[in-house]
Amino acid sequence: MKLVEELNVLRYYKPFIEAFGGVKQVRTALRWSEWYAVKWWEEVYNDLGLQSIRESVFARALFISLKIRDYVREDGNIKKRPEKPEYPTNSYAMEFVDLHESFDRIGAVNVAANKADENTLAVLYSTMLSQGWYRILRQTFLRLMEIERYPAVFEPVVKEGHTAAAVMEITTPKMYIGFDYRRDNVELASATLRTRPGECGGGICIFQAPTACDAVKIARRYAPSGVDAVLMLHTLYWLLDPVKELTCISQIIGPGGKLLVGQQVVESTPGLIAIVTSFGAKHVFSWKGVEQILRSAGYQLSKRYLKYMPYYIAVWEPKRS
Amino acid sequence: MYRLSHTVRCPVCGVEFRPTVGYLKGDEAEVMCPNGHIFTVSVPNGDSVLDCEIRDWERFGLLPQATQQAVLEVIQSGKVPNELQALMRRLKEIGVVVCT
Ligand SMILES: [Zn+2]
Repeated sequence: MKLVEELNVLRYYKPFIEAFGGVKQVRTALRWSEWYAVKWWEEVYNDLGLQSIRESVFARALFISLKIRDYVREDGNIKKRPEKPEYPTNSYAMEFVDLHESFDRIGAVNVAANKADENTLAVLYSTMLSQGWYRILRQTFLRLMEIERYPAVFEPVVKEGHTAAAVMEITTPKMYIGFDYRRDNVELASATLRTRPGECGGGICIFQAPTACDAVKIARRYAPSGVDAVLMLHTLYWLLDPVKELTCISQIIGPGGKLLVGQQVVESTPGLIAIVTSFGAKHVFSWKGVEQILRSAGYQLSKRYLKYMPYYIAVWEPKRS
Repeated sequence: MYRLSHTVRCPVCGVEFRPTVGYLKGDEAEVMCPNGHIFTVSVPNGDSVLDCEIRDWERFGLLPQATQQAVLEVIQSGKVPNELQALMRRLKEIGVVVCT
């Protein structure tokens, strides 16, 4: 990691690092993520070969993130193996490592070959979203973004509603609109927020829509003059067609409104990003890839906090011509 | 917006009413009595885990230790904290946790 980036992490991500018991524990957790990623890639490569990266986003995530770290060669062979790290002592760091261990038991080859049980993966995803380290990650992000400054928020792909609930722990937005393309997520998020799907009573509106473009059409009815912020914490890779959907999303952003982005990228934690793709994420991005997509969708950078460690964090806004 | 199914008593003026809650802070929400007093009530999520047990230990064993612990505590106490609500529902759906 470059020095400037490292200083920025300490500057902007301090509460997270402190909760993790300091930089050393964070590093240990990250090393585990690398260690598992190499293990999984080796298993996938031995069993399914390099062509697995064309058929599985999970295999592709492993390959790309390990290649840029110089662990694998172009042809897929392992170039070097990281040493097995010590088990962390901090409870959040432990949780993070244990998530990798749980995933390991499902089997990387099963996942890459699309043979892993979908329900088990869904439960593991739910587990991750409920883990303490993820809760701290969310809070740190929302505080850094100063979420309380935005009275009306739109959250594409609300998942199980944890991010929305975290927002409401910090502030009381005038309006919170969220959608998900999955029926089960809409129901879970609504239950978490004590609202009913499709109803928009006390300022919380959670509904189902097939894409962000369809969702924006519905959201405009609730917020005719647009929202103050669009919140996308680890959401970009869930969009089927990111450029198209982000273009639609820009139409719900009112005057002076912002797009708040937090996104795991291939330069972040390799094991974790692979795990998330196994949960159904559609893409893997580099941090530059994220910025390219946002530019193509008509946004301009307002402020970048972090490039990739622990993940990409920036504020964007629609380009006003 | 959510109307509680039970009535609460205002700690200031003692009036009983069925409050409507907006935003939740964890499992609690601020409500206002008809006389304008504001106080906090607990908002249960209505998910019952009474008389539940782990049925599929093999799958349950795949979960991280701390999560297993948390799920067992939920079953024992019968109360589902907000951040575990989605997970508990999924575990019930796939038959890892079975309630009678
Ligand atoms: Zn009163």
